[in-house]
Amino acid sequence: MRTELPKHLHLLALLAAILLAACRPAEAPLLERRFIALGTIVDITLFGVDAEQADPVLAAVERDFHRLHHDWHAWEDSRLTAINTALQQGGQAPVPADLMAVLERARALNRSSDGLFEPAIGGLMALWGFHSNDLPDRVPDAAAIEAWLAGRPRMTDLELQDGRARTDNPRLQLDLGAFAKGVAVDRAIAALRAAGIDNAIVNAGGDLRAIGARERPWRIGIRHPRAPGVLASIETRGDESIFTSGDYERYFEAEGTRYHHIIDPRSGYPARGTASLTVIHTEAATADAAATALFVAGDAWPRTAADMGINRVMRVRADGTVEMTPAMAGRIRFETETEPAVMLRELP
Amino acid sequence: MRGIRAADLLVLVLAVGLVGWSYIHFWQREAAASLEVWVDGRHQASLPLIESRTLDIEGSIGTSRIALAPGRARFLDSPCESKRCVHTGWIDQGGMVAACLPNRVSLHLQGRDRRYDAINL
Repeated sequence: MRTELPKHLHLLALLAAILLAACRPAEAPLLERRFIALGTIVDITLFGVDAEQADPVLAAVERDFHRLHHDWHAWEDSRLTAINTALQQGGQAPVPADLMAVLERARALNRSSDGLFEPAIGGLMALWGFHSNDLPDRVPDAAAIEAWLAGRPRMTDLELQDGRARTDNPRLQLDLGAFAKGVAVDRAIAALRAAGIDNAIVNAGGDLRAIGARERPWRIGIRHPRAPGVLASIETRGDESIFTSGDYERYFEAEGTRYHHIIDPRSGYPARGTASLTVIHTEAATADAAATALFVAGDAWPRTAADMGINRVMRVRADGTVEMTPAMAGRIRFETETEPAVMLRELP
Repeated sequence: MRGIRAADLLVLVLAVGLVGWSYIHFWQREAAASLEVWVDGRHQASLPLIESRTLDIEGSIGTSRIALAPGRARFLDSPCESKRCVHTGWIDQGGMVAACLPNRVSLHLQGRDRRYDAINL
């Protein structure tokens, strides 16, 4: 009897050690920075870095986001609105070198999407009332939309040369709304990498790029477009951007119809048939433009995906059925109680 | 040498106590989701979502009123014009966010198991 208790003490000590070890992973060393820019909440999560190492680069990334916010804002005074005003008045404007590179990239993506990603759509967005911090409450006059379509500006109308932008189309107004977040996220990831940070998520209002991992892969939930909560999840691999365009992000209702902010430049009205569209791609800028272009493409999205070099796509149609490329199907895990009907779509 | 000494008893009591305390501290905390309140890029508070109550948060342009309930939270009112934060409704899953950008107040739900590192919106 007397010799038994010390053994129990060992056992208890062991139990206590196991218990403490089990507690440790819950306190994973994640470092988080959060701020508001580009009209959304930007969330940066780092793994395996101490605050002292990360602070300078996090501060620099935050400054960069604020700078892009002021440079690219589509309706508050910015370098972009100055260019739009100059284009409207005289058909040309000086463009700073960094913005020139962004516009050239946007024009290339506009071409590869056959015009479905259309940064020249600013005038139409303003007509719809989406160039405001508040939501519109009425549909524009059909005649005004017809007039815009009659002189429909395209990114290919924009000549970019020698530090200047020129166009003959007075309706051409630039709006980087479907692109700015992606470019900013790519820049942030590049800055983090340059500072020796290899495990991070840069999340701008739900659209994000993740590199590396934490003690497990980064796990990203995809919002359900028609119900609260998460529809599906994706574990990222290496370096991936996940972008979703949804009809629930900015919208208003008029006479029982939902009018959202993803406008089809071909019809002048919100693109129909899609509730949300998610793409995985390495670069965030391309993923951002592609999520919009494929949303606008409707049933024809596999053609647009192939043209833009995107092979991981999930589309939730307005009727709730889900379409996916085979490459995406291998990555998606549904988190709903009953799995939705899924249709696999091969790219042409 | 082989008898139980006072120190052994002390270790025994401490060990049992530690197990009991750990159980209450860690398991209880795991069982309830919590809410992080951020104001203008600063982490203002972490609140357990166990009981229902309302709370006023001072933001950049005024006071946002939020509701806490078991496992969920929402904006009730905010001094913004569009009230998009209020229309967001309840957030009830780890990683979900509701925000009043004009008032620079955001609510971030931390799930029980931190299931998602981010939510694609």
